Amino acid sequence: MRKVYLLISLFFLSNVIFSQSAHLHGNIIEGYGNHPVSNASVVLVGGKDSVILKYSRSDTSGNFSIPIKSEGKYIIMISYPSYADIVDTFSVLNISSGQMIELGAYKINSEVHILQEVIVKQNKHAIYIKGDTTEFSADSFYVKPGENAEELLKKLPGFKIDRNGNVTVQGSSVKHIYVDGEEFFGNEPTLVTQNLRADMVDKVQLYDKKTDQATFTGIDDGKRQKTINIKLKRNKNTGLFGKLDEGGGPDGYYKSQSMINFFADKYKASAYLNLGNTGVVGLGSLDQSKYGIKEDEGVIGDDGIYYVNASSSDGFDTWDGKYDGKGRPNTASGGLHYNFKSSDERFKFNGNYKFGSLETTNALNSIVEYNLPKDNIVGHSLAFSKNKLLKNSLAISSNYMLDSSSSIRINAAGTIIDKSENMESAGQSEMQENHSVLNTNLKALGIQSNDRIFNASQLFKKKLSKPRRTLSVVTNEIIDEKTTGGLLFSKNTFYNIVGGQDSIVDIHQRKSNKEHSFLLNTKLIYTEPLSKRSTLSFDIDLSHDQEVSNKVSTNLGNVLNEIDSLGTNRYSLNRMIWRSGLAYNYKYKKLRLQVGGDFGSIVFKQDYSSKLKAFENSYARFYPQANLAYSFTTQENLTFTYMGSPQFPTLQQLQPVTINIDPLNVVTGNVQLSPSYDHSLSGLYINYKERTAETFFINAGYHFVDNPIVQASYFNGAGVNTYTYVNISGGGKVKDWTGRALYRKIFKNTPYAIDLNASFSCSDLSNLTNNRLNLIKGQIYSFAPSLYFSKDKMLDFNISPLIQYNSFISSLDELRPYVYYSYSLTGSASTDVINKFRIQTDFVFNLKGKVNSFDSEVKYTVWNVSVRRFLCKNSIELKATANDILNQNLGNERMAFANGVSQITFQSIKRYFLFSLIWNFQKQKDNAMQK
Amino acid sequence: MLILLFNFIIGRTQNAVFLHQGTISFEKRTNAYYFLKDEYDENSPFYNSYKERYPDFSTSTFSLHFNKGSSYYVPNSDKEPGMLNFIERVAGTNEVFTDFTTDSLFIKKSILGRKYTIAASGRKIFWKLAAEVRTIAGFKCHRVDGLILDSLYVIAYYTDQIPIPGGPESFGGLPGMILGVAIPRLHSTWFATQININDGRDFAKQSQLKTRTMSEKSFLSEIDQILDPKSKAFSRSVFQAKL
Repeated sequence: MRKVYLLISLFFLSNVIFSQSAHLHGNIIEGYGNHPVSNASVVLVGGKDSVILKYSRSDTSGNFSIPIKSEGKYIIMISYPSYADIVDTFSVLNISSGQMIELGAYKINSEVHILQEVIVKQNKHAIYIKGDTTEFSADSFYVKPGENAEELLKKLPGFKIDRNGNVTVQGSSVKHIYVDGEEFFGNEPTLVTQNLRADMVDKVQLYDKKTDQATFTGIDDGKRQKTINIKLKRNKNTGLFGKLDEGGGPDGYYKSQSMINFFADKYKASAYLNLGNTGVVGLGSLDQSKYGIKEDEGVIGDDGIYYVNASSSDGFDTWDGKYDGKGRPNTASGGLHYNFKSSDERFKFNGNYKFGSLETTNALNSIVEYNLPKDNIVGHSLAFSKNKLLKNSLAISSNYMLDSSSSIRINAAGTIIDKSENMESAGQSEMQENHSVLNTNLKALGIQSNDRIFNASQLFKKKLSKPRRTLSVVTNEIIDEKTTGGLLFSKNTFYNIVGGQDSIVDIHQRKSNKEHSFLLNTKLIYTEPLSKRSTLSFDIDLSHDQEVSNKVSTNLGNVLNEIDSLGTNRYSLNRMIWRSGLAYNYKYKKLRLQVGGDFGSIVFKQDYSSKLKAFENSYARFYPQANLAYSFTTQENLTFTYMGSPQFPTLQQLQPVTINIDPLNVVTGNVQLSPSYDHSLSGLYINYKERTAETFFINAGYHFVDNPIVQASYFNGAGVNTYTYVNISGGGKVKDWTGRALYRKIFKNTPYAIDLNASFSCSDLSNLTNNRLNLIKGQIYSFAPSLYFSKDKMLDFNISPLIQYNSFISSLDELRPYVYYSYSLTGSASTDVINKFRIQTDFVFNLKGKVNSFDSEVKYTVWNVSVRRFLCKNSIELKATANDILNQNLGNERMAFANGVSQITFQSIKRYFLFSLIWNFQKQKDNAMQK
Repeated sequence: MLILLFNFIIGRTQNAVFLHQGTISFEKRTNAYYFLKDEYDENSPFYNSYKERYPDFSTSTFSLHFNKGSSYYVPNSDKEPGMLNFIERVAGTNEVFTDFTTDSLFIKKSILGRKYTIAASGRKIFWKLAAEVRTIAGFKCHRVDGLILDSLYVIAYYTDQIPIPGGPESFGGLPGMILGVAIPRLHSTWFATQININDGRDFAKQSQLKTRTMSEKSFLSEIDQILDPKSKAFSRSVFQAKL
């Protein structure tokens, strides 16, 4: 009000007439005592637009002078600390140079004022990086109409998707894909990427998920997992949608994929059913981890000591229950998913039921070369197998926030796995030099198993009064009961040196095994901030696990059905592990350091009643770890990690029972084994240059084992390998070096991108063969450049050659090194410029050189083509697929193992044709309401 | 060294304290929740985990050393551990040396990890005087509204009590020192939290910014190349970079 008053009172100064480059003059006095005011601010403002034109200060006698250039309306503002501002409006009608415009005296008086804040608006970007999250706006990337989310992911820079739908980003594979932040059918990315339509997606967010522990405690442990969250468009994230994909072709090939989803604000429900024999769909649910609960979820799993029973084989069953491209599969899988969250998001529930059935038939041809001190033994065999698996699992997870600082999570899962294996094989072993036959064998094996697993975990977390002061307690329970039974028939004929028949051994046995394991584990972690930069964490970890294995082998064929004492044993293993320690975390600016160590005591009690013996060992062990990370910038990071941990022998390595499932490779456990100790050292450098769209990625690791557990084999004159496990020290080496370098560049404003990928892997392995130390040196070097070309609405194309050098040298047979090159060329192209038809093609050419007993080159090309046509606004799709047009696909695998090398050639899916009808349906709530 | 927390005037106007040299502590605050909320759904794990771990504002602090002839604006090295620095990746840690006598600026910026040192002249901004007055760090400030980089709306608060035409970053050219800046588009504010009078040591020599410089023109054209895909990505970053 005062301002207004002043403004009016001073108005008499207006309407002064002057000409060019004039000066405004005035004087400022304090209203109370009429003193001149120096240093008062005088601001000349344009009268029309309020733009500040000039400013000045009053001198010691309170005078000011401001140059003025043109005629017009002006405002002058005079201000002084603690005094009210004076605002005066006037007009200059004419200007003459050198003129003085006298504004007169201004009186200033005291003051007060208040105000408000600022509001915000936001724009959309194609790619935006915030901290550890990269976000892609789906609409900014061109995806052909009607395609699914997988096609969208392929378009995003840095993403790679293989034929089976596995997603790799910046060199690391993506294990989790969330939908709107919620987990969807556990770890099955393809269920998300192949069932959601690309046009439903609003944003794709890629981030490095920290461990729950790190998120909660605020202490960065540097462990990351690439995770994708698919955010659906607002009008697409509620309602009903799904997909039916039915296909069939000649020769009985079929593929059916159906999925239906109902999404609402608070819950999501989905169901799917996949059937097929093309080996492409519905395999995800079979590949899950055995326990149904993800290991990285809880505090468990940072050190791996809990997975005593993680190997699904008990020695009698040999098939791991997975389809890895070997043989002809027939699959059926399905599941139900439901997740719910309360409106305040304090309670969350996620439940999945899944079943999967898999039947595979296979014909395998294998060559195995064993390195012996004098001459090598080469075994050839041919086998036919038929395996079946049925798996049912139910997993639930719920999370409840008790208050803002504490939460409880309960996970539980039950799984039942029924498996049956049938195999018939015929084989022959001979010496490598003179091809003299050592033995021939025939075998038939039938094994059934039933495995019931229950596991649960409970996690309680509380944040205490200070930041980074936290407490968490987790408990895990696992109960696993497995029953295996079966029959083994085997006829082995042995020959003497001159080729005459020496002896015949018939094995005709019934096998049975009952295995029961139980684990209880509790871990408590307390973290305490020491200063702004450092935190100390303390942990106690107690676990008890018990495994009982009761193996019985019964000799059939004679009347008595007597027990085979070598193949029969009741064994129990009891372990109490206590460990506790401290970790120190330091984070300052760009540096992050974590150093810690746990001391542990392990009581190891073995009881094997058949020998009426029990013995107990206890070990004290140290678990050190160190992690150093330096971030040059957000996108340039260097990390070093060291970890040392004891590794315990497995039940299969310990149980003193002879397993003759393979009568030429007979294994017996060794109760005397002591834990080995693993050291691993790794470094990682990543530099992502956003400006030039370049990525550098280098990692290297060194890993070695003290007191390693290795195989001790003894080959008798007839070529039978009898082995057990021993600790070796001294000359025995088990270590490996691995490294990988990746360079990627996307040429901006061109359709081109390149990848250069080089890697090496060198390992030293040891074993004892006929009482001699055998050192194996393995080396693999590979180089693979790739070229990508992508022009929207026209052509997508990529090609990638690979060259790899493989070398394995055994110290027992240095004259016959196992060295060969392998090459491959892969490529794909897709276009839809041809008359509304979308054509896609991909090929892979493989060549492996011949070496030693693998006396022919392995060479084949697989070429696939598909043609698609979309109808009815892209909701209906007709698709014709030709797989392996050249009918050359060849299953071939070469491996090096403890004392030799092997090559297996197996049946694989070859040429087939499939004609599919695909219907995508959507009924979104919003759309319905608009109607 | 005297810490001025409140404006003190002893008796008569002539004794009002004017500062001609000293150090102003600036706090730059960016509303990270707004950043995220605009871009993310509230269900997104990133948004939630961010909200759980971090306060709504991402804060960093800077010091502005000034005397009659020049000023030097520099980020404080001390930082809260664990804070995400995504806001800083584009021009979030600028150092600015301003020479008021020649109206020239030397700016050191880090853009996506690369460092630039730019020689520029004082930016000509048409500041519009607004009616608002507020007190910042005990100093009465006038609000002015401006438009920079053709379209970026900036609100600044300057005080008459520091008769030096400087400010945080490369802002300046007002009748007094700028103690507050708000750029709504960038969700960011810079406000003075504390003002120290110090002996006016020659900080100009501390700054090595004058060496190895590039012109503002070539910097701007490089930024346009780096950050300006056709798709309007980075539109905010472009502004951040050019600030």
